[in-house]
Amino acid sequence: MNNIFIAILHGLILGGAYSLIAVGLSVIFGVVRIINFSHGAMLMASAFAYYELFTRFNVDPFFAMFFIAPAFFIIGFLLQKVIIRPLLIRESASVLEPTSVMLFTIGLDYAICNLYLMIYTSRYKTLNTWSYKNYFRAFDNSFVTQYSRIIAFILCFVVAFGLWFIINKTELGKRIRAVSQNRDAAALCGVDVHTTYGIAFGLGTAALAIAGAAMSSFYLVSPSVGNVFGTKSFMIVVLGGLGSIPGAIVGGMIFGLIEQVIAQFIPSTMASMLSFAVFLIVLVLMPDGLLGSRKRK
Amino acid sequence: MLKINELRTGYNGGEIVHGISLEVPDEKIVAIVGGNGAGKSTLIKAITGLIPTTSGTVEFDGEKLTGLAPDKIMQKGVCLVPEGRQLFPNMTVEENLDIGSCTKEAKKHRKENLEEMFEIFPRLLERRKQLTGTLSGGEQQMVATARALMGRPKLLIMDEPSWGLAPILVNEMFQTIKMVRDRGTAVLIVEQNVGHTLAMSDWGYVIENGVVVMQDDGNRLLQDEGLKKAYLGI
Repeated sequence: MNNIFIAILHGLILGGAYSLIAVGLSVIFGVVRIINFSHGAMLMASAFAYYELFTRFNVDPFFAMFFIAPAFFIIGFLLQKVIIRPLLIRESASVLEPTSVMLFTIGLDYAICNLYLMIYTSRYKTLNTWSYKNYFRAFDNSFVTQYSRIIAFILCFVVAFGLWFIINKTELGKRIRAVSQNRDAAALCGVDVHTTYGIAFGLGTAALAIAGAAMSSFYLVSPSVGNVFGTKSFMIVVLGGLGSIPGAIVGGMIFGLIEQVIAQFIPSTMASMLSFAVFLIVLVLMPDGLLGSRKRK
Repeated sequence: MLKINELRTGYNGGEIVHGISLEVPDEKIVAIVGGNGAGKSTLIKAITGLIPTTSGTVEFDGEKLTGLAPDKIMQKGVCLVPEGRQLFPNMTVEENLDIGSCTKEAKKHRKENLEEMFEIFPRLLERRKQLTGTLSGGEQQMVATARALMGRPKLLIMDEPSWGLAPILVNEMFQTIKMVRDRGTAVLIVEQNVGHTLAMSDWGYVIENGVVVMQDDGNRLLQDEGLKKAYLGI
C-alpha cells in the first residue's frame, strides 16, 4: 500500500481524536463567549477519573464514560452557575467583554494541574485496556492502529452530531442559540440566561469527558497531559472557526493530516511546527476561521 | 396596572432618570415622548430589568418588579419590543417567535398565538423559514412585535418602534399598536415621532433631562404651544 495513503488514514484518525477534544471548547465559546482556558486541565482530570476506575475496578473508560460524562456535565453546570455567573454579572455592569472570567479559567487551569501533580506526581501512567493493547489492521497489515483510536474517530462524529442535534433541532437548542446571538433579547423573551449558559457549559465539559475516555485509552495519563491537548484544542477551534461544530472537525482533521502526512517528508517536530504556521496563515487570511461565520447584524 | 414611583436610574453611577413617576392603566396606550437623551430608553431598561435602579419602585398588578431579572419580569406579563429590534439574526422568523413563547405559560398557547401572528402580519407567514438577519427593516419590526406578543403580555412596551421605518410602514405600525390595545393589552410606547404617537395615545408624558415636564391626554398635549414648538416645529 502506498505510504501517503496510509499516512492520510493515520492523519484522519488522529484528527478525529483532536476534534473530539476540541468540540466541547467550541460549544462553550460559541454560546457563553468564554474562552475556557481550563479545558486542558479538565481533560486531564477526566483522564484521571478513568485511570482510577480502571486500576481500581477494572472498568474500561469507554464504558465508564457513560457515568463520567454526566458527572462532568454537572461539574460544568455548577462551575458556571456558582463561580462564573457572579463574575459575569458583576462585570457586565461595567464592561462588555468578560475578561475576568477568562483570567479565572486560567487560574483554575493552574490550580487543577498542580492539585493533580500533588496527588499523582508527574509520573506517566498507561491504561492497559483492551482497546489500548489491541490493534486494528487493514490493507495487508500496512495500516495498523490501536482500536482506541478508531473508537475515538467514531466518537468524534457521534459527539459532534449529538451536540449539533441538541443545538439545532431541540427547544433547548433554540434557547441556547438565542442566548448566544443576543443575550439581553433572550432574557427579555423569558429565557433564563445563566441557566442556559450553565447547560451549554455542562454540554461542553461532558463532551470533553467523552474525549478523556478516548485519550486515556490511546495516550498517557499524567498531570501535564492537558497542556499537550489543551493548546492544540485552542488552535483547532480557532482554525475551524470559534463556535462552529463542523469547524472543530475540519480543524482537527487538518492538524492530524499535517502532523501525519507532512511527517513523511520532513522530521515530525518540523511537521508540528508547520501546523502552527498553517494556523497563523489561516488566521491572517481568514480571521474568522475556515468555517466561522461573520456575525449578521 | 403599571405604576412607577420616583424612579431613579442610570449607568455606572451617572444618574440619567431623576425620579420619574408614571402610570399605565389597563387597556390604554400611554406614550412617553421627548428628545434624544431625555432618558426614555434608560427608563425602559430599568422597568424591564436590564439595568438596576438606584431608588424608587416599579409595581405591576400590585407586585414589585424592581430588582427582578429581565426573564422574571417578562414572566409577570411585561414584554418589550426593544429599541433596534434586537432579533436573533441567525434564526428563522418562526424560531424567533418560538423563543418569544418559550416560557411554560406561553408555550401552551404557542400554536394558536403563532396562527394569530401570521394573521396580523401575513408577511411573516411568507417569510417564516427565512433568517431574520436577511429581512427588511419593516419585516424585522414585525418580527420584533410578534415575538413580544407571543409571550402573551398584559403590558406591551415598545421602545422607538418607528426607528428606521419608511413613513408608510410607520402608519401601519401605529395601526397595529391600536389593534393590540383593542385586543385588551395595555401599551407603553416610547417615541421620538411625537405627533403620530400622541395622536393615538390615551395619555402622554413628556420627558426632558430625566424628569416628567408635562402630562395630559395625548390629543390635548398636541395642542400645547410649547410642545408644538419644541417637538413638532410649528
